[in-house]
Amino acid sequence: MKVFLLKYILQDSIESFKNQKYLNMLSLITIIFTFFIINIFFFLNFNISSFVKKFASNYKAEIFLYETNEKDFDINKIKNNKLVKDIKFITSENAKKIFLENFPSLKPTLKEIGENPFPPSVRIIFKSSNKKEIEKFLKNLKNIPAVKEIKTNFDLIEKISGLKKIIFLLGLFFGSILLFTSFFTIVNIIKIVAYSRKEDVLILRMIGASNFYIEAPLILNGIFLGIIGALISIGLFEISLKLLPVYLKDFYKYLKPIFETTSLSFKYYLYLLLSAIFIGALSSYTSVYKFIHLGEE
Amino acid sequence: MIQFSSVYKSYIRGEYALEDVSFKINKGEFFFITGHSGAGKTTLLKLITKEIKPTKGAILIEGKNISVLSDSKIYKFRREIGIVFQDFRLLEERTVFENVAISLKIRGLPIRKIKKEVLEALRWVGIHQKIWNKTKTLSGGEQQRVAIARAIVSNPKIILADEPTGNLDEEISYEIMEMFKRLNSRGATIVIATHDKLILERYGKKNNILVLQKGKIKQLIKRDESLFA
Repeated sequence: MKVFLLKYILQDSIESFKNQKYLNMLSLITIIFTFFIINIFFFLNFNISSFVKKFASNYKAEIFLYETNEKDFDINKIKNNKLVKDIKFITSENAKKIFLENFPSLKPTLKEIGENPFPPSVRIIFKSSNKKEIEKFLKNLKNIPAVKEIKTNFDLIEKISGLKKIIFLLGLFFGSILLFTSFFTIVNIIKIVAYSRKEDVLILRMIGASNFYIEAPLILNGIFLGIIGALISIGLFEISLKLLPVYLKDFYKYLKPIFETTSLSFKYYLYLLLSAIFIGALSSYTSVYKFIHLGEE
Repeated sequence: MIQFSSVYKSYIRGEYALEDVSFKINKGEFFFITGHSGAGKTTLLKLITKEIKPTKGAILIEGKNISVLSDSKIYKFRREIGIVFQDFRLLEERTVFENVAISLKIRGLPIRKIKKEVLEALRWVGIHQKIWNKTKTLSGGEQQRVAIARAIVSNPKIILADEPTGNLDEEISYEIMEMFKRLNSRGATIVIATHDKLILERYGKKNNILVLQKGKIKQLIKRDESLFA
């Protein structure tokens, strides 16, 4: 019996959805726009995170040494420090070689200089993410007479992390506003749909329909809006990702080597869909909650 | 079957739409409630269906005090009552079949059973030829037949009708009243609120009539007593 009841409720909600197609369309546009913008923010955040992981996931330091004293710097002492993940000694010759590999066009300039301008150095990759601890460690290294200069990637990491935070906060801010907009649009659309069915609801109540029977089609209407809106926004977003490189060819040519983008994951889209269902259900329930007691005294 | 004990209903503080109303309707009775507009007929019917709650007093349906019925049980209680209104209260955009079937759909009956029961009810009221017509395309008399079919399709023990002939011409009104008579002869308790004198003259003689005036009982006329004497 319950199966038939659910079937009738589903039929009723599809019927109601079709009958109010223009109102539902308005709601859909808002949802699609909201989720499309949210997708953009998540996409940026996700890709910047990947970039950070790839290029600035670990604190790094390059310790430049005085050539005369390079043997005074004992790598083995540092190697066993708990903060250090990896350490590599680069001789002046190796440094020159690496430079020429990266910038072969500067070979004549280097020849003109005559002597090798690259000092020997030690590259350290830290496993710790405790910046204060690492800074303390580097301060101690600076006191070693063989150390000429220390350069770190701390600024880069902080800048990228800051950018990531800004994008995340912007996403959170605009996403929240848009989600609220969607929420209230669905609330009001369902309210209008419900009020357009006011007479029907009064009749249903009079003949003994349960609140569940009256509420469910309206709540399903909200859920349908959420599902359809989210799916269309995902589709549009994926199409946009495919089309953008075609239309922004030149820009992509420079961007691609350093910033290769990947689309959002299936898991993310699944969460997006579930959020859309939740928003659809919650907003429609909010609007029908008072409505179902219509006419009661 | 239906018993009112000192029932009061007030919509505005200090003003009573019904005041100290006590009466009893027995099982299988054909009962009329009459009075001028604003006498309290509709309020009385709304109290029976628990659409509104009494301000004071008790209403017993089949021995149960419906005033204490919880909100979650009201809908089940309403399924025991068939209701017919003056303005039919049909789902205008839906077909005759859908309007009658809704009474059974809300109970979750299988569609095959619903089709059978609906067709039977529509045959009984004589509108089965228009089963797939939208109700808004029907005449007043036809719409009232659909409303009656909807009220009876689930075989309720009590049928309430609020001015069921109010929007119909004389001939159609009698046809509708004959239907209520037939339903009564099948065992249903019929309660009709009307101020139509012709209907009361023709059908009231053999039935009890409650006369309301400004929310109070003016008179309870037992069968075979004349209202118009």
